[in-house]
Amino acid sequence: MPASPNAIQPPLPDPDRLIPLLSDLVARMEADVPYAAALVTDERGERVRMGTTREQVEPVAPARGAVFSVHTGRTVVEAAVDDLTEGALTAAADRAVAAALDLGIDRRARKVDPGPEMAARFATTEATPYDAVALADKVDRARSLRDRAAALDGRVVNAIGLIGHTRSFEVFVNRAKRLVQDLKRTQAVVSVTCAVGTDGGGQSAALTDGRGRRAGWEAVDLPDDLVPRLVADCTRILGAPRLTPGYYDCVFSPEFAGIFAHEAFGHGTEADMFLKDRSRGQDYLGQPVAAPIVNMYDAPDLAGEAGGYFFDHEGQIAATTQIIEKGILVRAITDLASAHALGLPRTANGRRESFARKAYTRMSNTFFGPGDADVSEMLATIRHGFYLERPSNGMEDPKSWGIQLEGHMASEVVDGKLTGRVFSPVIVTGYVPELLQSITMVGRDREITGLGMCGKGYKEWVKVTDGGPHLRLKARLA
Amino acid sequence: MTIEAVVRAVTRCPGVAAWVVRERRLTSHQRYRIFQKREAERSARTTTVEVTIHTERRDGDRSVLGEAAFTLTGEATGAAPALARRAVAQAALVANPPYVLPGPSHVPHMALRDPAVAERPLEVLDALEAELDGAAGDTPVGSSEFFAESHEVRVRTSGGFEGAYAATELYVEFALLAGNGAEGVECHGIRRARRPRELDLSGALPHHARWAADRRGAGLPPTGVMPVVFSEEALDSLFAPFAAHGSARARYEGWSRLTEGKAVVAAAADPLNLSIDPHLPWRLGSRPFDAEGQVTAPVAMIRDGRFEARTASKRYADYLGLVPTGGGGTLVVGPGATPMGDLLSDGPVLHALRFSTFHPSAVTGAFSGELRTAYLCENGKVTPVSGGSVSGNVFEAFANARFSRERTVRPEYDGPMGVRLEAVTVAGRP
Repeated sequence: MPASPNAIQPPLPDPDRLIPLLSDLVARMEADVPYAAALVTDERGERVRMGTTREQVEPVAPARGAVFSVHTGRTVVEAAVDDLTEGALTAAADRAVAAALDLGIDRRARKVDPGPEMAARFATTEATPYDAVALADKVDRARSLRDRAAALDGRVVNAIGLIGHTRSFEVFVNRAKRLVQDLKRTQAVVSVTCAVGTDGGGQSAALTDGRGRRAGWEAVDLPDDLVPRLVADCTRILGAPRLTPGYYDCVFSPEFAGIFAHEAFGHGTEADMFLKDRSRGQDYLGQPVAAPIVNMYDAPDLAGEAGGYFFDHEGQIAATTQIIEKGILVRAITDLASAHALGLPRTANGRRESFARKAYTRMSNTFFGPGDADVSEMLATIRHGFYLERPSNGMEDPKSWGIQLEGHMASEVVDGKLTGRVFSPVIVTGYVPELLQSITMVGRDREITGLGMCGKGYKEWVKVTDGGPHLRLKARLA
Repeated sequence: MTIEAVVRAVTRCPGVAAWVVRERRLTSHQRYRIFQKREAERSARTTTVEVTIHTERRDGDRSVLGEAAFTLTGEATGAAPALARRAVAQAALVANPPYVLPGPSHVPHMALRDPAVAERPLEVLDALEAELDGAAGDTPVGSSEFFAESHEVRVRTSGGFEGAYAATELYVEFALLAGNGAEGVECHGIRRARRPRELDLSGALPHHARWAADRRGAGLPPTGVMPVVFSEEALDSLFAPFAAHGSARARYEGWSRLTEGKAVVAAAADPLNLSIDPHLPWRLGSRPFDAEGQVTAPVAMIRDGRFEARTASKRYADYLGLVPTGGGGTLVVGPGATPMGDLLSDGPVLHALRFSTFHPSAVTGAFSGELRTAYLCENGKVTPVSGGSVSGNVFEAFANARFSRERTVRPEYDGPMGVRLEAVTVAGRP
């Protein structure tokens, strides 16, 4: 039995062939244009999905190609192609230059800084290489997750165990840099659907949980209580009522804090939105936007976390950006174009969905920094409120600072104790600074589950994670 | 890379009992602007060939279907024979109930490809840019993105199905700005269509400009349970739980709450008529066949408030003994008898047009959304409101639903311009 999805797939791009070729092409392009760069990406992987009603072993849709970027001084011109032969790459580079010359070159514009000279190769560390594990073992692991969930409660009508793995092999070349990274991300996920009396009525509910890491096979080991808690919570929200709308004292779970961080001042500090006058954040740099106990970070270099990488898609080496420091909005995250145009420091946040899409300013691993409180201390301060967990999605409007966070589960808290009453689903809405300034306690714990994806607006999906410690705050719930 | 080479590799591979090969060619021209300055100009060309193979085996006294898939991109055709052998090995690891892939069938012709978009995409983008600027008038456009794409799709199956179609798609995204600094707001919009006529930037932009202006100073809605009329973007997903529960897959997986011949909601002011139509010309949801080569067919899912028929891919149709209908299609909802103005006049009523995001749960029917563009209509007065949320459950909230007489067409929705739900929870002012 073949062990890996890569054993028979087309070979990975050969950096020893590509780097000299891309370097030559970039040099040739820069004879006509002020700045050029090349990125080759090869994304592949597999999903082993064992469901109650259907079993699947399938590849992640591969995306393999190259993009050549030209800065004309006014505009970024790019040509992308999914053929890595020398002829196709040369044609794409020529296409980018021709389109740039058609639009005109501004020789007086400030020059793009290619960064310091650097040649480096990076790779994810795997304790147990994913590709060394037999496919049959992956199928068995996914089935065991499914079977365990299905056996826990008779109301589970569909359970799915999923083992997923992606490998992103990327080569970046400009006149200063020759960089290679081999990113491997692995996740284990369990989904359950519960139903009672479905014919002509009844109730149904669905929940998903799991963990993802930038790691090998070791990432599929889930906490022992994850599946029992998932099934128990799914049956608890089955037919649960919605809560009465109002402003409540709340405790956000680490997952809920994560989606809050991501939507609030993740999207709110993406500097490409500053350029478009689509973000209020640019007017508040250096000003208080949160309670003084609040710290927030975006960290592509966070060891092992799935939203991370060694360099971004524009060749910037990964490093942590502190976005909020003691309640002050201190720094934006940037891509090359926004940093260049606004004169902001570059951060490693220029990312693309694939070689076929544009680079924007994008988050990586975004999270609140830890505080000094314990969750039981937080709950003890609440007379009537809710503990929010199992977030489902969120959206923010960086221009007006409105925010929406949705979740599956709000557990009632009365006189400092969980009553056992559960409400579902729950939505949090509000004004971002108001919510951040209402934070009165920050937990000392920090969790990142690693399952997130993020769109720019409503498209351009990239891998991200978010998380944080428990937070105590006041919010409008419905 | 050619589909024929891949088909040859799959048919010669020992152990393959059945197969589907899908080829997709995409040419994409993309233009990005910051205000009126071009930020980026891109072009991308990709080809993918997706292959699904089936194997057959016995597991005790039952037949078992093994299945596996792989995808080839760019120049990678040469890998097809090795990948097919690997797929056969992978298929041995999974066990599903058998079904039969689609066989030969007449492929209906559909108007999905606009020659101008396919053959002169840059000219089309130039024209759309000019149309957007003209239609925005004095309202600044902070950013805009324009995509012109051509798709060519071919599918072949081992059962003898062979079909191809070409389609075009335009995508324009824009953010209109109103006010400055802390008073500034935006109205973000997305238009999608197969050709410029349906994109209708000239018709759409003035509405977005007005919504942007109306958001300035808009306060929170009141808190309570009240009638809400959903229109515009709010309609795109409002009916999705009905379509999901009306699928054969939901029935097979055990969570469909719809039963043939029974009412879909407990009480109905206007009976719901809902169908899925994959054959409407120029619609984004239209396609002659699905990814498995199943020729699509319209489905009258709910008639006079009673559930009648399910959408079914070939897999779930075979599992449940239904007629296959293929996947995709425009969601078509029958109109009501009430003029739109009357739906909004019996107030106080909240008119919800746009949300931050609005995706009712397909499984539970629960919905929540933060209001971006909404109006409170009361005593003949219309007041813009923004922020706060509406929430409820589609299957309960559609009791006593009323639909407008006027219709609207959106990329994947064709139905009443307004849907009034009488008892929706609104969370706003304390």
